[in-house]
Amino acid sequence: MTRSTRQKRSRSSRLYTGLLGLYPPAFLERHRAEMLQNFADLEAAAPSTAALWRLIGKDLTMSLMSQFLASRLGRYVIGVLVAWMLFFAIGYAVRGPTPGYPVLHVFAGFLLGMLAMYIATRFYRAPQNSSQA
Amino acid sequence: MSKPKPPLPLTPAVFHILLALFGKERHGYDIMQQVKADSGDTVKMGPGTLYGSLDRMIEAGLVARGNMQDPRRIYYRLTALGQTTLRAETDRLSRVALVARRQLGRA
Repeated sequence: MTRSTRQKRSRSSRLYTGLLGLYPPAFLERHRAEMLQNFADLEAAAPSTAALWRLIGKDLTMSLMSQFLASRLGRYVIGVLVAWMLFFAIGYAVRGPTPGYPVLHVFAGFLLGMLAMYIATRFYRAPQNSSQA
Repeated sequence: MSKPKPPLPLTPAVFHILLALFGKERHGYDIMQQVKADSGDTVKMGPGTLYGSLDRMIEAGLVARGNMQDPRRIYYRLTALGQTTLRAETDRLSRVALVARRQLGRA
């Protein structure tokens, strides 16, 4: 193994370690050591850095999406989006596509969404969420 | 007390993990390699997908943690429910394949 390959691999490993921070803390508490070991094994067996990151990129996207949707925060975000769409649809049905009103609907929806996100963030950091990985 | 019912149908990832663990305790990387081999390279699983699935499978009672001496190499094994579920899903897939073969034979 050349020096530059070793450096490249250690950069990949550092990057993956940083990206692991995107997972919920409870999940990391259970699996961080295993995931880092698996990454090292995958890195050692990968034919190229590009092939390694193709697998890891797809895995991160899919698993983070799944973790997020299963989390309390994810459910709140979905709830906010649904509430926002309903609010918009009702506004459109009642007021029609009058110029000016959609802007108000969007602004009100934005405020509602921000409030829900704030509340969701408080819940997401609460200890009872730790079992939901 | 009635026996817990196997949660069917399974996702491809769950089915392959159960299959990889049949008859042998394995750690994460070993499971990924076995899944890759069993699926003929069509199912490639990364660490995030694997441990997310394993968490859900442990919660459902399909899989249990085995040897945990090294936190970097925790072993997982099938439970009795996991084995029953694997057999039930294999039977279900066989029946589906049979129907599909019959339909394709008619076409």
